[in-house]
Amino acid sequence: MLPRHLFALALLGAVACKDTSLDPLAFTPNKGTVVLNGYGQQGVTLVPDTGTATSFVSLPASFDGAYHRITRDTLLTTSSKAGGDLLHLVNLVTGTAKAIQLPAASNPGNATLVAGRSEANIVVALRDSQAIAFVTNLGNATPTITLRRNVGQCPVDVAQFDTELYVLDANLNCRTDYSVVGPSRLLRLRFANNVIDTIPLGSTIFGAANMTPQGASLYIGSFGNVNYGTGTVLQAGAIVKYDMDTRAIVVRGPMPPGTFGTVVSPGRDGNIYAWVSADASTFPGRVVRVDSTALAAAGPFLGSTTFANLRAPDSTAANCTAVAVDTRGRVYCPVVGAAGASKLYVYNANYLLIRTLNVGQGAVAVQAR
Amino acid sequence: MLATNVLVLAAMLVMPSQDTARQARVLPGVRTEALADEVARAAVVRSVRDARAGAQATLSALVAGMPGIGARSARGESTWQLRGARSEQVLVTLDGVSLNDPASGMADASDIPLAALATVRVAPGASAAAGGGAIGGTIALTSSDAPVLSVVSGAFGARGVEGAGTLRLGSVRLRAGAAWREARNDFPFVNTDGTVGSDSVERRVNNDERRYAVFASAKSPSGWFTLLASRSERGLVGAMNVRASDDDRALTDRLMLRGGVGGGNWTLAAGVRSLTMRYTNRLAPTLDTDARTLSPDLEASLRAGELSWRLGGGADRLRATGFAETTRWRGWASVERGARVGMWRGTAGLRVDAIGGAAPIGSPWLGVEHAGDIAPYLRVGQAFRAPTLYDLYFAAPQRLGARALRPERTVFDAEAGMRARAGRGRVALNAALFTRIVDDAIIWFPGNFTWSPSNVGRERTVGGEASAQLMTERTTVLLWGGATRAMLEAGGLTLPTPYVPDVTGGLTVQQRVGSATWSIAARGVGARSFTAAPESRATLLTPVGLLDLAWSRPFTWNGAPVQLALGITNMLDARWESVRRFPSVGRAWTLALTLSP
Repeated sequence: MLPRHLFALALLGAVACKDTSLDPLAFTPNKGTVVLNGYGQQGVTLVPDTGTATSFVSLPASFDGAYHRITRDTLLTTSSKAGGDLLHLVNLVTGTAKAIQLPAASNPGNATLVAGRSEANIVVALRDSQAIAFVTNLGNATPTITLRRNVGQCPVDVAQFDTELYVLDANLNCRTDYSVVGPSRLLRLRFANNVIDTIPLGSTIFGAANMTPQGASLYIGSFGNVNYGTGTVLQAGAIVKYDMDTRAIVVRGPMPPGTFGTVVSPGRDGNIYAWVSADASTFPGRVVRVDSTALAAAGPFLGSTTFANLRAPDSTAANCTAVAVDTRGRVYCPVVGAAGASKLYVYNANYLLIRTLNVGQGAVAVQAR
Repeated sequence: MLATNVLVLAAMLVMPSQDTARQARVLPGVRTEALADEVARAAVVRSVRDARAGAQATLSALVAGMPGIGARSARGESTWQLRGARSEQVLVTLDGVSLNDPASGMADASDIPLAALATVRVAPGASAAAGGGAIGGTIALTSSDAPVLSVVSGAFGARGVEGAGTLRLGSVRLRAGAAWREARNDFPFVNTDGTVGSDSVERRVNNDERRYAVFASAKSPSGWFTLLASRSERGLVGAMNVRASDDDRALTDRLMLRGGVGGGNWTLAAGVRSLTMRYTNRLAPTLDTDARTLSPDLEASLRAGELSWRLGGGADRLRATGFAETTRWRGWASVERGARVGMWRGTAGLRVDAIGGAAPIGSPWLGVEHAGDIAPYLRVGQAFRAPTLYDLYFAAPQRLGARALRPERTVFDAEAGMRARAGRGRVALNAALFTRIVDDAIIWFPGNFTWSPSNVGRERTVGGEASAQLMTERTTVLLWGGATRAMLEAGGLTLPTPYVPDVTGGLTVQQRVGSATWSIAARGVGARSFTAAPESRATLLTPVGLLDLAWSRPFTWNGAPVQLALGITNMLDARWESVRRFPSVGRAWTLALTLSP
């Protein structure tokens, strides 16, 4: 038995070294779904694959985050400058949470775990400080924070790829009104020499909001450009696929005209999913499924649109606040009703509603594990 | 007893009354409250003179110390809750005129100087007669006629001066005054909202305020007018762990001008209120905004036989950065009848409000009470609150179209209580049980991108209040307490109404020693949820006990009566929050010198 395991391990290692598109999280067991509760009773709701019982981990009442990232059993999320500039770490195994104070008024964006670096095991984008924070959080030791300044106009997200750190610069006036300064950019920080390279994402990519690595591919969601004064979407959001091996943009996939607010979420079924807002007046949340190669919309569609045909129990379009998809193609769509009461709609791969669960209040994000 | 009450109520509506009315309505002076606000209620009145003796130098301090009031303040404003109602569900009036801002729905009385006022009357319970918005009750302020000059100093840079003088010209009595007050408010607090295990003692930053006010009034046998104008500049201090608000500033201008004429059995009053708020941030000038509301109105009242009629109309006009200028029209009509049958006194009425083109809403009420030393009473009624202009427009970023919102509707508000007096009025007891059901409560929750209001479910409130007062020649003791349970049912959830404590109570003892007066006031506020979330210890603010001490002594100066008052609030330096994450001031002192010629 042992030699067979060793052989399998060696084979796996060989494949992994050659095929960098292998999902580094492919061996993560499916442990259910995690919903981020951003208001009302803030925290994290853990939803198992079966049954209706959920468990809950509280976050401080100051928490105001709307995005989270899970790596293995650690969930990272942040409170903005209005919530006290905090980095929150949730241990999904023990159900415990910890907060780390980031610089005052730095307005943290997204955070990620980094591996193999002595300077930090967590990196956080600090939007208003135009910096990234290298954070060490080791056991009970007091966390240390080191800033790398002059990292873009408004860094919103970070991702590690080997010895490089990618920083997503939304290029917005984050300190004031989040108006567009220019097209968004990707910044590559090489740990070896601390040099930053700027990678344009395209002249139509505005307000980049998040990015998610899938092997060597980096999927970036851009918000778009909206004139709220008139309710006009000047530029729809988009998904950009960047290859971190070849250091080239592979393809750009615009979202449907009139939509904005794209948050990209690579599905574990091999497709890419995006949450978008379908108009700038009533903000209905919709889901778009695209293939991972050409980023072309894939059905089944909701009526004549290119939105995923996700419907509420009353057959109206489901007003999702986020989207996640697991390895079996099941689609998770949180919806928020009166008083922030939240439900999680679970669809099968054919978009048939198969489960509805109560998931607390203010469900703003979801991720499948 | 119940059958008797029913008979009395029925009789009241069909029989000619023997003593129907209160005559104040027809006087061409300051308009008084409707009869419905006087009958079958456990109202509490406190005079500004008494407050000054207790070293309460601001209206906020005066009202916060009254029984049953839930005072909240985060960024220099003062708002009040009553009987489990939210701040926007409490109507605040000055001489009968609403001070609730049509944009936000709330009244911030922090800019009203004490020198302008004579009394504050808190009348809990819904009151359609008082006007839209009085779901939890009414806090009625009345103007003063007396001359006064007061100088105040206090902790954390507080200082101020206010005064008013009177003049009689023939049959016209004029009064004019002004006030100025400023404070740094840089009190220490413990920042508990950072990382776990690293609480730190800090000082409030950007919490200063500077307030100015002028006021004037005139009364003659045939007419009257009142003017109140104020300006406040203040820092919009952030939550305890939030530094992003350290440069946020607000400038607020308020104006209320109202006048009227009367004769015989009629009065005609017209007025206008305006509010201008400017928000600035020197580091982010692109975020600077302003909002202006202008609210003119006209009302005629008439006594015709046994009935009191009121008919009025007005408008609320809003201009604000990012808003399309918008106007909303208002109209109302009410009829009220008072009656006395034997030892029973009652009132019944109906008010119909039409606002913003919506269908008219009728709100009836009925109240009956027994006269005498033991006076049981019963009151039932309905009320409503229109969506504010922020409710309607602020949620949509382009702010071009009104959001579909229905008015909040108090479908049932009832109170049964008893007032008792003994020992020639030296002992007074009050007790009341109340319940309220509000449908279509307008609550703000975050949406996909913006916070937005919606009509959510049903609010149910039940509670009880009691008070006992003992007065002797040298000693006054007031003991009061109450319990309230206010729950919101929405979206399948049952949530406690935020900031409604489960229990409240207080004890005030005032003792004259020689010519000086000592008073000690203890107040307790029970646990209360700070957010609209299911009941959980994690979302509760902890109970707090507050202890205030005051000393005052009258003397004469050049023949004029002068009062020196020294007060220490929060003697025990309790650490507490009236609004989650906004620390309240700890121990503080106030020294006031008041001349009342």
